[in-house]
Amino acid sequence: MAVEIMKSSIALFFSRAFVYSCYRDYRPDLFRVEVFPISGELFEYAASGALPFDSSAYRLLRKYMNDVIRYVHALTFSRFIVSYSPSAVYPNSTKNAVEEWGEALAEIESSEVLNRLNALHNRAARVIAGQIFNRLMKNFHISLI
Amino acid sequence: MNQYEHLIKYKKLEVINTAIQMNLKVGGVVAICAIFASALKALSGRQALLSMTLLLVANLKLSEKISFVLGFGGALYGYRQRRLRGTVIEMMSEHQRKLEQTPDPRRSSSEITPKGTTRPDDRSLE
Repeated sequence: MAVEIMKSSIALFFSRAFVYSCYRDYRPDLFRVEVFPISGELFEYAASGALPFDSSAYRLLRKYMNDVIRYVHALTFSRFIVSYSPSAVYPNSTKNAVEEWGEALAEIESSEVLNRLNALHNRAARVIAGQIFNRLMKNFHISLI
Repeated sequence: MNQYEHLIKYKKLEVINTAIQMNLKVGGVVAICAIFASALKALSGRQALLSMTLLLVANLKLSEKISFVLGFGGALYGYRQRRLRGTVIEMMSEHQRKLEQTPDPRRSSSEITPKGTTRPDDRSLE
C-alpha cells in the first residue's frame, strides 16, 4: 500500500511539474503564433497604402498587439477582472482603452478600412479571450489534481 | 479618489491575487510531499533507503515502466523541438524586422526575446 502511495505521489509530482513548466511555456507560445499573423496582416494592410503607418488607429492596434504578445504570460482571468474593475468603479481615473480605440477609429473616413481594422481588432480580442479561458481551465484542472 | 490612490488600490489587489496563486502552486507541491513522506514513514525502520528505492522500481509493472519511459521521452522530444523552433525564430525575426523597418521606420516591437520567448525580467509578473 505504501509503495502504491509513493508511486502515485511521484506521478502527481511529475504531472504538476509538466503543467507548471512545459505547458506554462507552451500556452504563451501558441498565443504568440496566433497573434503574430494578425499583426503581420495589419502591417501588410498598411504597407498596401490603405492606411498610413503614422495613423493613430494603426499605431494603437499595433501597440495593443505588441503589448499582449509581450505580457501574455501575465494574462489571467483574475488579473483581467482586477484590471477592469477599477475603471468601472472609477470611470474618470484611468484612460478607457475602448474609448481610446473609438477615438482612433473616428479619424478614419473609409468604411472599408474601418471594417478591416475592426475585424483585426476582434480577431485579436478572440484570441485573448481564448487564452484567458484556457488558462482558467488549466488552473481548474490543477486544483482537481 | 485620485489616480494615485486608485493605482495603490489596484496594486494591493494584484498582491493579493499573486499571493493566492502562489499558495495554490506551492500548496499542491507541499501536499504531494506530505503524502510521499507519510508513505515513506510507513516503510521506515523496516527498509533502508536503497532497498526502498529498489522496492519502488521492482514494484513497477511493465506497462508503468513503458508509461514512464514514454512520458520522459515525450517531454525530452518536446523540449528539443522547442529549442529548435527558438533557433529558427531567432534566424528569421531579424530579417523580418529589417524588412518591416524599410516602409515604417517607427515600427514598434513587442520586445520579447529574439527566440520569441518571454523576457526574463518580465517573468516576475507571472
